[in-house]
Amino acid sequence: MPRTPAAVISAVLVTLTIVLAIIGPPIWGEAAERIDAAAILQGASAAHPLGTDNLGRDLLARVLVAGRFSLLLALAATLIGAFLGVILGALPSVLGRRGARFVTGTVNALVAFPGLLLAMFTAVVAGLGARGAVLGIGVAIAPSFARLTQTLAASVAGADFVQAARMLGVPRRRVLARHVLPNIAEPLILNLAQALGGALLGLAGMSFLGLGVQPPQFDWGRLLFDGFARFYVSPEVALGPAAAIALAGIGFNLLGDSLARRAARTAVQGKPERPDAPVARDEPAEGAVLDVRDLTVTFPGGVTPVRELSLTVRPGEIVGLVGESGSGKSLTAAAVGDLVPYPGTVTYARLRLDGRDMAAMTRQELGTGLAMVFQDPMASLNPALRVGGQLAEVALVHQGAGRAEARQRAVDRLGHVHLPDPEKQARRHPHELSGGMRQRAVIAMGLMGSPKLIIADEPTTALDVTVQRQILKLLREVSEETGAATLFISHDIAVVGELCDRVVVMYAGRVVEELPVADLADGAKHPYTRALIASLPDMDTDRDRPLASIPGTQPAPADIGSGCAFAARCALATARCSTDRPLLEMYGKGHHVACWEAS
Amino acid sequence: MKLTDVTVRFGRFAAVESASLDIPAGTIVGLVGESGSGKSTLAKAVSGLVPHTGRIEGTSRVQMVFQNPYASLDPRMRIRESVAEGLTGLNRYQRDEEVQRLLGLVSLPGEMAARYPRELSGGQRQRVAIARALGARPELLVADEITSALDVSVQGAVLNLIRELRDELGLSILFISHNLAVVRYVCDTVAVMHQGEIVEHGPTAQVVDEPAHAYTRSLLEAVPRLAAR
Repeated sequence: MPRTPAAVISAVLVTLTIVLAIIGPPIWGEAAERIDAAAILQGASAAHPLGTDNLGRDLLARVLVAGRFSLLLALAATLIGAFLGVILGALPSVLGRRGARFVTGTVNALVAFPGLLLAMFTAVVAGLGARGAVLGIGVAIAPSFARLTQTLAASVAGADFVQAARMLGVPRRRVLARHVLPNIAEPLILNLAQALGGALLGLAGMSFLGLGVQPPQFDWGRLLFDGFARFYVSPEVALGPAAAIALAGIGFNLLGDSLARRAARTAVQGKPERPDAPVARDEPAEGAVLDVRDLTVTFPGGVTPVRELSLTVRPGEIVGLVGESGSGKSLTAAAVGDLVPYPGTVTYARLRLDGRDMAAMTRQELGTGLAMVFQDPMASLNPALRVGGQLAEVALVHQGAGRAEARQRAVDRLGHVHLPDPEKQARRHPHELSGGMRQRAVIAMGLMGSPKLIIADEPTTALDVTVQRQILKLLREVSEETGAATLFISHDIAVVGELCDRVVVMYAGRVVEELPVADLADGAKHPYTRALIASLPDMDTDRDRPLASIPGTQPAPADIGSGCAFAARCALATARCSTDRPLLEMYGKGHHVACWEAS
Repeated sequence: MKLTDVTVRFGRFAAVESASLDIPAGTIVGLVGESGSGKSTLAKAVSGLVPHTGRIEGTSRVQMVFQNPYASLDPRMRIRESVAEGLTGLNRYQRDEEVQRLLGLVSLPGEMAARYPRELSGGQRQRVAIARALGARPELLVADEITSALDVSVQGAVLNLIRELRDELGLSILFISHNLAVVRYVCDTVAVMHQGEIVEHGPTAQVVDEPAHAYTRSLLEAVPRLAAR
């Protein structure tokens, strides 16, 4: 558990409460019941630190003894509430449509009803005393549990594995028991701890109102009720039980909080390491728009998804960065755009945009010199604002343009990416545009400045093939017209082959091959590149032969050894491959391969 | 299996408009189209997951394999339990035997049975999902974009498996995909859907090489090719 102050305090308070509940009655039980006619209704004294009650019994002892009873009552109320709530919340998943609607409506009505009123009503009906109070609080807790169960169950019920079970003819009750309940148990159990704190307070409240525990039994609430009448004479007799209730209640509430926070945060904990930046061994590439040397992205715990990556993109050139999920291609793009999520660290020997060190550039210079296009255009567009206004903002903020001028430019750029009727589109909200039109709008947004480099991270993956084709054409047009360099990231080697001038293939965080696109179809040297191409069915694949596939899986960034990361899946691998890592070697003009066995 | 004039409406909107399709036993029928063309809705109608008008005749035993293998297996159940879910009327020993047989059918090692989904790769999970569907002994398997969430390097193995299942078990498969190259490789016949209607249907070679409908032609032209330039 994370050592937050709240977690420590809750652990201490809850432990104290539980220890008190166990040892309280045997140690102070006798003192709590000892009637002393000589010491009736006393205030605080050395013999009785919290005073005595109307029979002369020591109140400190009574508070300490009452802990067990209070806690047991709260536990019983919570369990009743959770039991009723889970049943009520799970019923809609089992019943038919009409029954489900009825139960849902009932739960909604109960949630809207004030909890304390519900508790008092139930307690009065069930009869005065501890039993009535426990039932009352239990009933009051149930609706919120029911609502939680219902919401959680509904999210699981939509899952594919539940649909699959339905298709297999698994009955609803079994689906609930096998699939739904186990997958929602964790948040429900977390909620129990918090509900326990609430029940403790609620029961004390009931007893305080006289609806709860009746003499001769006593819990903290009853002691508070008895002491309150004398509050103005000797406040300590009421403060003792009040403090006990408050501390125990806070303890359980904080415990629930810390447990929930712990469950939500499962990521690796640790301090971000800051490795030393490598030193560039060569001269900056002449005339390159993007010049990256030895780029490394590290996450805490020695996880390194991108390793010593070098990349050059020249003006007007489209370079494709291709690899499978987990190869580090998107993180490379993020590192260039200074968008690596916390706690990742980026180091490099050189990172230059248009001949200037990117670390020295201001946000504004980056904002106009670099355009980024992502897979989901909605990630770049604010759904609440009109498209034209969002584009104009770039000119307003980064270029100091006037409002009318900025708007004019926005409309012009929208027309430039072939949006039909740009005036009208500028007045629309993003959700009124189709996926392809949104992606065009994002590209237009990038063109509001005069970008030197366009980074496109899977910009067509979510689009249909015919729309994909149009967007690819647009990217090519933009790069030819503006002379901007493009870094195009994709998992689809066919798309890369169609659009790009040069292809960089990544595997497990490293570049394994870099080649001109003309060589891609039959000049690739690295066994991984070759396997990728062979496993991709295209319109000319021989339908009578099985497709190639690569055995095994790509190693996770934490499991990469000292040798070639592909060795375990490679048909050509020798003993050397698993111990020594091959460096990128020149294989021809613009063609580099990192492989010992490539020929 | 035979579909005649199947229409699926959501309110006034017809997602599928009088679609007719033959799925002969032991063949793989491809259904291609863009998002919103109604291909997934038609698949759901065939699987009995959405109400429809028109006739769907020929078989009642339909099973479906879903797109995302990361969501289609219960993370809290061992592979053994997931695969055994469609098996009925077997004792414990027979059930274990059957799970082993099903895993064998999809070329997964038997010891996978004791693992949890999180320990498997995407391609392996998709095989498990196929094995689970096969457990119900379906006459028709509906495969809805089953390779689009997978990496290229494992996609090939799953496509090969689909073809093997047809050849070895004589299974009929309705194979839905937006990727024409994949459909061309896997399917015996192809139906092209556009705006809720089947605009073209025929043997794969014919549809791909001599497309009759303009929409099919535009789809074919848009397929990215490695050696395009």
